Parts: sequence; C-alpha cells; structure tokens
Amino acid sequence: MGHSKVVGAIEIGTSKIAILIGEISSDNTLNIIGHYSGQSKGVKKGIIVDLELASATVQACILNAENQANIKIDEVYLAQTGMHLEGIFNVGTTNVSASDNIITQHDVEKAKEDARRPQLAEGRSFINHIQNPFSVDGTKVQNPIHLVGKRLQVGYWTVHADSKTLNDFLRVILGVPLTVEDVILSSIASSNVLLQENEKNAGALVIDIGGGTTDYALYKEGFIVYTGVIPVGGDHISNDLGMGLRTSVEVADSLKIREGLALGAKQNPQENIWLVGNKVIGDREIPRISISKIVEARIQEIFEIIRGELEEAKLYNPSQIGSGAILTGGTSRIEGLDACAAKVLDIECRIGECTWDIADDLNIPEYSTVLGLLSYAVSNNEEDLKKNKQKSIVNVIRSFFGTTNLNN
Amino acid sequence: MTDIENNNFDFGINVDPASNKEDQSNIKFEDSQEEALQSEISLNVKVLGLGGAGLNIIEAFSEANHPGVTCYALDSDARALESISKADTMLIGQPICRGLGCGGDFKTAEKAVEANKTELMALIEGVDVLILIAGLGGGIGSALAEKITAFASDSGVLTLGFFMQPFSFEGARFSFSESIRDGLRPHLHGLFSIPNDLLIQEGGNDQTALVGFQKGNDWILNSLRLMINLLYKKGIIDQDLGTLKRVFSQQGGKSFFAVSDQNDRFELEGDSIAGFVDSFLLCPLFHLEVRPENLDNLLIIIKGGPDLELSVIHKITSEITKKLNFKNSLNVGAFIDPSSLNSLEVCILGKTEIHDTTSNVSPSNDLLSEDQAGDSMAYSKNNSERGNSNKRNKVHRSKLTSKLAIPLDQQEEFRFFDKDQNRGYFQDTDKNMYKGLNLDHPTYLRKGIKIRIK
Repeated sequence: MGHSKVVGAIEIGTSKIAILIGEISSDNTLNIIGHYSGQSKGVKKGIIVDLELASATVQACILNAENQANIKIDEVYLAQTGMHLEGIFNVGTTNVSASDNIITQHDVEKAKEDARRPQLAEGRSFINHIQNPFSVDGTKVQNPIHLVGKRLQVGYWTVHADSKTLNDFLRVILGVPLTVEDVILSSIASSNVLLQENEKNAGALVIDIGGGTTDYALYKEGFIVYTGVIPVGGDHISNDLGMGLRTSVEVADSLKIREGLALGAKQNPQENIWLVGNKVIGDREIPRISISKIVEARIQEIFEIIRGELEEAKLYNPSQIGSGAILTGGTSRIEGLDACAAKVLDIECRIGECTWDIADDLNIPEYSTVLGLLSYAVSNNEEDLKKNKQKSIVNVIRSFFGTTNLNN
Repeated sequence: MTDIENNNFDFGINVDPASNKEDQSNIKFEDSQEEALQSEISLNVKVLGLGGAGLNIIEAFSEANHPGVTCYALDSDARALESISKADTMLIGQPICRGLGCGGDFKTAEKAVEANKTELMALIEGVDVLILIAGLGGGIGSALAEKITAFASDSGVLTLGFFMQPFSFEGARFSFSESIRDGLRPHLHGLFSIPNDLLIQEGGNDQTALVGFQKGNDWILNSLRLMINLLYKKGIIDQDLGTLKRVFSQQGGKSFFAVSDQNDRFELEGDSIAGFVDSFLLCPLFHLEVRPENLDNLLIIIKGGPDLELSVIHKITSEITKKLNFKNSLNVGAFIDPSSLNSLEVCILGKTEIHDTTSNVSPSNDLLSEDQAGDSMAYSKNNSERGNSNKRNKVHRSKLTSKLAIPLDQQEEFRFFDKDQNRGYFQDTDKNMYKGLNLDHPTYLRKGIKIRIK
C-alpha cells in the first residue's frame, strides 16, 4: 500500500476558523478524517488586526482538529479573502512557431508565460492565476494543441494580494509550525464544491457571504472570468441590528441568527418579538419587521454592489448566467436571502449545497470554502502523481536505453 | 418632608432662580446666600452658535437666563442675526459677503472668517470653557468652527463642540462634513456629532421635518443646560469645572453624550427607576459608533425635583453603569431644580483617553491634576489671571497618570495616526469607503429607512 498524505484545509475568517483534515491516499481518494470550527479572534473584515491573538486562536483550533482526527497535518491549504486582494485580466499572445502552423505544447506554454508576465507593483504578490479559454486566430477553443493557426492567445484572471497582509496569514500557519502548500481565493475554493461542470459552463455567480467579507466569483462558459471581495459581511448585519434596535452587538448577533429574515415583505407589521428572548429583566418587545428592514437593507446593498462591480467590468449579463447565483457562507443561513438576491440580481438564486456525497454535519455553508480547498489538494495530488508516473516511465526508458539525453 | 428638604442648607443646595417660578413652596431661599454665591462665580463660559444651525440652538439656549454664561451668535447672514434677541451677535465677513451669507461655499466662508480673525481671537480670551455649536455642512459654521477651534487649541482653553452633520444621502456634502469633523477632533477636548440620519429614526411615522430637526436641537440644548447647571450650581453631589476638565482632559479621542427627554415625567416609586433607565438607554445616541462601555471617563449628571432621594440617584447611577457595562472612571453630579417636581433628567458625557496625535499633545498645566502639574493646581491658571487665585478647585488625580508610563509632557515627539474614525465594532479597521460611502455605517441609516423600536 502506498503512502498517504494528511492535508489540512484552513479558512481564517473574521468570525470563525474552519478546519478540515483530509487524508489523500495513494490512489488519490480523499477521506475527511477531522473537522473543527472555532470562533475567530484578532481578524476583522478579513484582515489580521491582532497577530498574536489570531495566531494563538488558529493554533488552538489546529490542535483541536488534529486531536480530533488523532493525526498530524502534513501540509496546509489556506483560503484567502479581504479587500487587499485584487484581480487583473491579462492576455498572453504568441505566434505559432511551427512552419506548418500546427500548435504545439511549446506554443501553449509560451502564450501562458506571456499572460503571466505582467509585473506587479512593489508590495504585491500573486495568489492565483486562473486560466481562461484559448483563442486561435480569434476563435475560442478549449484545447489548441494540434490545431492549425497563426496566432495563439490565452487569457488569465490573475489574483494578487498585499504581500504584508498575506504574510500575516502565512506567519500564523508557519508559527504552528506547518507548511502552506497553496493559498487559494475563498470564492474560487467554494465554487469548486458548489458547482457542477455543466453549471460552470452555463455561467454562474458564486457569492460567499462570510462574517467580515463577501467573496464572489463569476463563471462564464466554464471559466472564472471575474472575482471580487467586498468588505461587508454578517458582522455588518449584527452591527446594524445593534444600532437600529439599540442593543448590544452580542444580542443583535443572536437575534440575526434567531430571527433574521432578508425579506420583510412577508411579515406582519404588527408582530412583536422579544429582543433577548428569555423575557429576563431588560428584555423588551420589538417589531419583528424592524429586524428584516435592517437586514434587508444591508443584504440588498451587498448584492447591489456585486451587480454594480460586474456591470462596471461589463460582465453582467443575466442571460449568460444560466445557473444563477449560488449563495454560501455563514450569512447565507439568513432566511429569505435567496429571494432578496434574486430581486436585485435578476437571476435565479439558491443556497449552495456541496456537490460531493458527504456527511450532513459537513454539508453546511460554513464548510464550503474548506471543502473546496481539499478539492484543490486532491487536484494537486493528482498532478503530482501524473508527474511522478511520467518520471518513473522516463526512468524505465532511460535505464533501457542507457542514455541520459531523452529530452530532445 | 423629604431628606432633601432636611438637608437643604446643610449641603448648601442651590437652586436656579430662573427656573424657580412655579413651585417655591418646598424650598426656602436665602437671598444673601444666593448673592454671595453669584459673586464668587468667576467661571467664564462662552457658548457660541456658529452659522444657521448654531444660531437656532443658541437662541433657544439664551431664552433661559444662565448667569455667568455668555452666548454669542456668529453668522455671515445679517438677517439671520437680526432674529437673535437674547444672545450677543457678530456679523462675520462683512467685506466679503456684505451680510448676505456665504451661500454654503466653504472657500468664501473661510475668507469671511479670516476677515474677522482678530475679533474671533479676542472672543476666546480669558474663557474657561468654550462650547461651539454648528452644523458641518460646509458653510460659515464649518469655517468658523475650524478657525475658532484652532485659536482655542493654541490657548489651551477647554473646548467642547456639538456638531450636526448632513444626511448621508447628501453625498459630497456629507463626506465633506466628515472630513471637517475629523480635522476638528484633534483640537477639541470633546467633540459630539449628531448625524442627521439619526433624526429619521426618532418620533412616529408621521413626524414632520421640523419636529425631527427639533429633536436633534433638544439633545444639544438639554445636554448644555445640564452641563451648565453642573458648573454653576452647588448640588446634592457636587461637581465642577475640575470634573469636566478631568473627564475631557485631553484633546482628540472619542467623546460621547446622551440625554434623556426633558419632559420625562417620573414617578419616584419602586421599579420605575429601572424603567426610566431602560427608556433612557434607548436614546439613539447610545447606539452610535462610540460605545459607552469603551469609554474611560464618564460623567453622569442628574437633575431632579425637590423630592429627589439619594437612593434614587444611587439606583439610577448603578443601573446605568451596570447596563452599559461601564467599569472605568465614573463621576456623578446631581442637583435640584425646584420646578421639576416628580421629574428627572439625566445626561451622560464621556471620553476616552486616546491622545490626539496630530497636534501638540501636551496638555497645558491647567488641564492636569495637581500631581501631574507639579505644584500648580488645576484651574489655578485661569483664576490667577483674573486675580482670583485663592479660589482653587482641587482636581483629583486622574487614573490617566497610572495608565501612562511616560509623562505626558515627554510625549510630544511621538505622533501616531489619530484613531478617531469611530465606527463601533469596526473602529480598529480601515475605513470602508466605497464610492464615497462608508460601508461600516448602517445601511438603513444611510438610506434613511425608519426603524421602529416599539
């Protein structure tokens, strides 16, 4: 039996830290052997504001997850969000080198290299390069190899981060100490387990509303064409409720979970509910509709901003988002969120569910990002396995021919 | 007969003659004592209403006679000043605006203010407490607030400012008011801002615009009245300028104020005190970005009728601090208004000890406690300047001393970014600006959505 790898998927969110531990066996099958979700500290709006506190909290969560799984994590896949992330679209171009104009792997690599070439400003680091379709002499193709053409182009949606902010997150993990194998944008990770291939092809908008930030990724014809982060999330709803209902953020937070409704239209304006809920001294009745008015205003604004940003990028066309909007993240638990989204976005909206066959306690919006990270870990492992296999075939041929120059 | 009546002269309780019109049956005045007290008052408080919004409030405030307090109305609009009957007036920028106002143009307003620079400087000379009231819409009020605050900051006078901010739907005007407010904050000992957005939340669904704006004015007026009473009257629990200076010991930082409705009728019985406090804590000023539990110093001012009992003061104070979860430095002042039988008014003023760092942070000696300032006592400087050095008020050592390992006067070289962008839960994070909107501000407030709480 081959060697298995223990991978940790970690999302350090504003309100919670989610960890999944997966064991990837030698045949590249994933077995989730541990999970832990703890309250996050020292992070606001996706940025570490107290490194010491955040480190201690994350380390304690990792330890809990490892203890639960009774195993040590080998490597970590880390989700990344926050306003420090930005995206740019680059197109790489190359002239086909062969005299017969048949595109080879070499041409593909040259076009890809050209697309990744742009230099970032000082203090910025690449996070993810997301490949878009190739185009041969202006015609979009999935796989250009062996096709005939003069000019090959490929687009890349490149996400880059503020190096200092990114380093803060890496330091938290490195301090455990653990190796960070890859850093992946939260919205990309989530969409990996929430969308089927056909849904990506039909076009989809994945919106992950977390505690401090909202991440979104737009798929068009199977490719991610745009990602974005808005520094507004569930914490803002709690803060709005606290101010609007004149109570503490803590009471407001529990009220959001207990009574939060994103669409007030359904409600009876005369219906009152108890603020704290246990009718203790100081508890008071408030109109239920006031909660949904506050929640609806904030949620609606989040969707308006997303729509506005996509419209500005000239990418918002409801007819090209056939699969609609898929909502996830802890805040997506708010009742009526999908209806509110549909009202603003003019597309079908639903709460995302994991496309994998997994246990019910993992199939919740809070885990979609870390599940997505594990799917990346599996993909990476598959690529490694392929490379190793190729390497071992090469070694067999090498030993057979007794030569070292097989690359030409 | 209540305890208060019994203790009246033992504790030297003073009453406001101006408000003693209707019910004098329970309180007996000794004119000679009253006069003696007035003659001892050398405290110089100036309240300046700046621009249109400031004029409305200063006129209402001047209606009641406040001995020792000088009220001024300053505007570039001569007609607006004509309507002021009780306060002194000063026309600003006559050569620039010809008494016609500056049309809300900040540059014109700045020029107008510059034209009266000398008079404005003279206005704050010898003042112990300067209180500015203005709307920060970018007109003459904003320009005056900027200039006078700068002068006051240099002279070291305790300066507090009440500022109204435009509605956030006014876009650029609102953003401008925020930048003006942020510029003023490092120079003021206390900055209290009232966003107009908040006024929408007050009153019933059929509330008119006039009633809405009046609500904001009332918050300022009631706070001012209680604060002035605290400074000039002897009370059941006496506080004075020293207390105010201790609470607002430094420029910059976060300030907080909240006030109960003036006409809150109160039956002094049993659990109704808790009910009164609960109702008071629903004042929207408690639920702005500066949370009272995060403050370092709190001053609770209680005004009651002659039937106010000490146990009631105790209960109100403990209920407020308990419900606000406030555990830091607390000051309580309480006084009697004989005309306020069966009524109660409470005002809370608070401040953090965060330094202003964009200006000279060393407080002048008169703002320090006795120990901090060496042999010089708080309040002595201004008093001695007026030849009244024997009337010294001791100011207790602030807990600020124990908090700061480095003496204040050695901190001038250290300048930090002013952390005054208060957005409650989000105050430690960068401002969330998006197309001119601060997304940390509640959406319902920015969009003017009225929220019922009852």
